[in-house]
Amino acid sequence: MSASTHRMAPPKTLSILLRHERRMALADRSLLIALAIFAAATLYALASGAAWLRGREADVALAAAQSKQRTADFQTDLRIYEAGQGATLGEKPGWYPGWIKSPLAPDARPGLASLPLALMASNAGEVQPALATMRVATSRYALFDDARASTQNPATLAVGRFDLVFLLTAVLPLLLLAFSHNLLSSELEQGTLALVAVQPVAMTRVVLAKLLSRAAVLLLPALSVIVVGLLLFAGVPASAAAWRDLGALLLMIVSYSLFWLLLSAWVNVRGRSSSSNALRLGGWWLALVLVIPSLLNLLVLGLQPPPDRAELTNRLRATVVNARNGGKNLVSDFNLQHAEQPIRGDANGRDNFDSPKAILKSWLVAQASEAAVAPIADAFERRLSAQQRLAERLRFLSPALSFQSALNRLAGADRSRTEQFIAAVRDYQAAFRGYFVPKIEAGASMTADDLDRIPAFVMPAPRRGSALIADWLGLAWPSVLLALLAARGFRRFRVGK
Amino acid sequence: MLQTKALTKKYGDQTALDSLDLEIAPGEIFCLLGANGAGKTTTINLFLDFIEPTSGAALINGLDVHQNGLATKQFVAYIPEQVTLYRNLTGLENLRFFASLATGEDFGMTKLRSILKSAGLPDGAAEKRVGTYSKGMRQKVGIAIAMAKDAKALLLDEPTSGLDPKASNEFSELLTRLSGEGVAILMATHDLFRARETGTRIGIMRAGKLRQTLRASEIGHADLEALYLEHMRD
Repeated sequence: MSASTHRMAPPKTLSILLRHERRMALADRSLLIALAIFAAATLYALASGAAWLRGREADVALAAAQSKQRTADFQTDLRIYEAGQGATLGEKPGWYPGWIKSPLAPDARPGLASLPLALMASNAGEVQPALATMRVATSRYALFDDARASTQNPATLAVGRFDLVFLLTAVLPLLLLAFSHNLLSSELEQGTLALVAVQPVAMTRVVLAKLLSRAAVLLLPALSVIVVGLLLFAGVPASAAAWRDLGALLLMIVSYSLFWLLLSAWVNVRGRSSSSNALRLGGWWLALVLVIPSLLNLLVLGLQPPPDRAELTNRLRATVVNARNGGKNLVSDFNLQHAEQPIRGDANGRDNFDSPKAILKSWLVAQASEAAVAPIADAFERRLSAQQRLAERLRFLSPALSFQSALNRLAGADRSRTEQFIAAVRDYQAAFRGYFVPKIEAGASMTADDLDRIPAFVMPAPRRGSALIADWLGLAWPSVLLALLAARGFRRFRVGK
Repeated sequence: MLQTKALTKKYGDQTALDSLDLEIAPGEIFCLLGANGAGKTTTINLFLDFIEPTSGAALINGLDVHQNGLATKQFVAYIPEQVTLYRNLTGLENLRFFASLATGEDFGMTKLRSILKSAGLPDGAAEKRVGTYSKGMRQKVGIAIAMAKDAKALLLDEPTSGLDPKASNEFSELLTRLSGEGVAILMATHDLFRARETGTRIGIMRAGKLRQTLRASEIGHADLEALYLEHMRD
């Protein structure tokens, strides 16, 4: 070679470095062990998530089936009654003709439809109402009381479940940091970096090759296990939307992993020892995964104190008692307004619980109590929602929170899906009442055919496009910042001190 | 090929290298002598752009190292006191990696083997993991990298310390051969005997200053030792 020829950094260097890094990584047996442990943990998290989800879906399905069965039983009895053979029914225990004819009797159990990835977020899913209990007179504020009482298993709430969201948010970063904290420092300590640095190759390219190869040897197996586990425990995605969810999940995991790898790269810029890098990265992990989320939680509690559910219950009870005491006046007021067709007691003039008048009274009392508690209960819900919204906005302060939020959203275990379910159930309640209340106000009885026309509950598809993009941006901005800082650092990086 | 212009490196108020002016032509072997802390390693690190100069410049092939870090590295090879290679790879694999990194070319195995042989690596050693190599063998792989790279300048930092006399002698012969091929060599060493035997010129450093430069052929071993000690006593 003539001395004046300038061979610049050959374009093939990146592939040479990548080949070398892959060879070095595969020679490391601890990598295989760590990946095997991660794979086992992933499969365990998915298996336990699948078991939890099966339980929840069984509860929802059972409630719906029981409700349907009750309606079918009513219908059968009503047909017998309508055929003039009501006397034969009289022998059945607990049967009374007034109840099966009452528009107050039919019930519905609208349930949350699980998203394809629901099994990965059993922690967030556990505290989500998944089932409503509804009759015409059920208060709109009491639709989820049964669900609230049954789903919050105190033991589980205290310990938390080992779900995929937790594994990926907290444990995956540890795996990534374990194999990237010494990205450059190990070669600096061994002395091989000096021989690399003497070659005409930019240090940024050396680091890039190390990052890419670490990403490949750690993420390809990890993602494969996650995909296989999901196919195994959640089944093959059945719709285009389900495939999109899976794609979005993988994108989020890759983006989150890149953040931690870039953090490692940035920490390596200073040329400190591997043990010092490990300590610093451990500190970052602690801060981003545990400390910042806890501090933000405290901040939210300080800025938006949570409303007190016990106080709400007491105030509601007092209001309901007042409304019930005014029940008699409610019926006479109603009859004054509907003088053309007043509602009276039963045929014998008695005011039994199943008389049109008693039914009207129950409905009017329920309506009045609901209206009376509305200001209190709505304020409660607004405060709760404001608190959760604030917490959600603060997720941008830690990539771990943004990532967790994205995963919960993909699993359908986030605030917006819960609020969507609650809103859908309330819309359904309006339609449900819209069907029965005119009968109550007309003093009419239910017929067997009426029961065929009860509106059905439909759970809408999740709306989360822009929120998912926001979650992703919460992951992306720290990564971009770190990439810029690391690139600048490595351009100035010197092997010697 | 190797040149410094008033090259200075300070750490706070400590001066590690003080206005060094030096020029090493192709085919020359310049041996830098001096006690620990004299500035020998600092000079080499400045040529490698491992550290930044406080003032002045180090030039390789006429290019300022600090301004043209990558460009100058295509001309230079480096043999530290301990040549640290990838322990899990064989000598051949190490050479293959560094040679392709240096040139962007993938040398065939036959070519790489012949380079290792010509650098003096014993037969059969090329296929063994570097973890089993002696220091002398690793130095030879280091020389092989320089040869594969076709380096025009060679920087050596106490390469013969800890080598047995035979290995040290073989190493000197390699250097002489490379200088015959027009490579400019700068070697920091404590070994007065080796410096006089191998070097074409000798520089004596103390406290960051180059105190004296002389032709190796113009001085005997005993005189060199006396001169060296005299400079150290000042």
